[in-house]
Amino acid sequence: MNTKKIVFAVINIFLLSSLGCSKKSIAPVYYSSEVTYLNTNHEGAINVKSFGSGITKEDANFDAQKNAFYVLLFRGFPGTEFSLPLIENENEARKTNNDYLKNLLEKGYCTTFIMSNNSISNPFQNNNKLWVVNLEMKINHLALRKDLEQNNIIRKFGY
Amino acid sequence: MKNKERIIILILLINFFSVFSQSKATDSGGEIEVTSPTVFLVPQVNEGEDIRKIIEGNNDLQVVFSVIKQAFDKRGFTCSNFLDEVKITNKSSAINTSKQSNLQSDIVRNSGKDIAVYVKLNKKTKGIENALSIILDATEISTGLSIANANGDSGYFETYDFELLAKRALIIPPSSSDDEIKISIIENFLNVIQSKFTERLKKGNVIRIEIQIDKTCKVNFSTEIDGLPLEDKIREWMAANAYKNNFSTKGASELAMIFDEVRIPVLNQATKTNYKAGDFALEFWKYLKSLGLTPNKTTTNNLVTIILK
Repeated sequence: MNTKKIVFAVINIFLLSSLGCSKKSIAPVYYSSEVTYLNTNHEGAINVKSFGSGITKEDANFDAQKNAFYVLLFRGFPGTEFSLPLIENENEARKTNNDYLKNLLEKGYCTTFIMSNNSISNPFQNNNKLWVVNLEMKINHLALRKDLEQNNIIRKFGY
Repeated sequence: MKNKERIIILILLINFFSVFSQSKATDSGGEIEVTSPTVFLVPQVNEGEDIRKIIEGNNDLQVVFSVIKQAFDKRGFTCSNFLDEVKITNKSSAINTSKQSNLQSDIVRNSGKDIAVYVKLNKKTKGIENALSIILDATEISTGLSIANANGDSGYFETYDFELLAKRALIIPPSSSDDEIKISIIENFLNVIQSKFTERLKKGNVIRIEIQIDKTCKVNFSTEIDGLPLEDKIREWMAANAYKNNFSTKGASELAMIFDEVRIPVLNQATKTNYKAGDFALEFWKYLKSLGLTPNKTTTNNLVTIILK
């Protein structure tokens, strides 16, 4: 009888505690491909335009930067000399070089390859109260490729 | 006395094995550098064209070669130059022979290089304006397969600066409007070549194997060995040993058998060291010896020739 009471109490505590918790909205981890190639100076720098969104303007800026690098690394820009992505196989790269990619895309290492960064239009809040930015960025593509080669993420030209 | 004999034997054994041990001068501690394919730039010569006129004193060609080499250098890759190759192999006296069109192909074939990038220039003039169009064709020397090509045009400019025209043609092409995306021809070209290298890493390098039976040999490809005709024994071995079972054959006559495409891995799959046509040829040679045959093998670039005697 006492055992039954204890079990019943534990179940009730569990149910009450789960109702009491506030629902946390966790933003899904995904990258947008709303990145547009603008031009290149043919000396190793590439200009792109990228959208980003976030809870704060700073988050939105960082999101735009991440998206630009994601497209450069894994998607490429069709119809340009960057049509082939720098990293051919995203799944394989994430399995073997997850730390480097996390550092590059999630922890701000990508900003070391950004030569300049300008807002094309004023940031605004959308219906979900997220800030949306549209950035024009100049990325040091040559340095990025060299860094990927030196960290064995991609091969140098050849084998 | 016995101890002295033991010491002498020990010293002799140490000296014997030291012959086969790694030389300290070249010991890398196990680190291996994967050998990349070699690339060299070759001027495109049409039939009947005088190669002397193409290569001697042709500053424009040198300038274009220099622009192309710079693009390779930016990728950290060094390519060599047909013109330098001619100097190295001391073929300058041979240039004066009458067989102009064979000379280029002979030098290319005997160069030991893997890929030739043929460069064709076309200079155009319109009044005081000049333009340069450049055609690039990267070809695998051993198989003759074209792996990448590109075509760039500088557009007409009032200039005799061929370096500028070459860069306009290959690196900064003109466009009809400001909105049109300008694509660097040479960057695209290098990207395609790199994608072919990636394919080679996955599928293997291509070699060609030609097996001939000498007239003094007592067997031919129909001769039965261990219950099977020799042709089938060889085909079975090739199927088992070609990388990922990837090979093709042109068939066999009584005295000749050709495998026009046999894939071998870039790296020895067991030791992860560089694996070349000569290594595969040696394995094949050992197999033929095990059948009681007398094979003579030669390997030139990616062509393996076996003569059974």
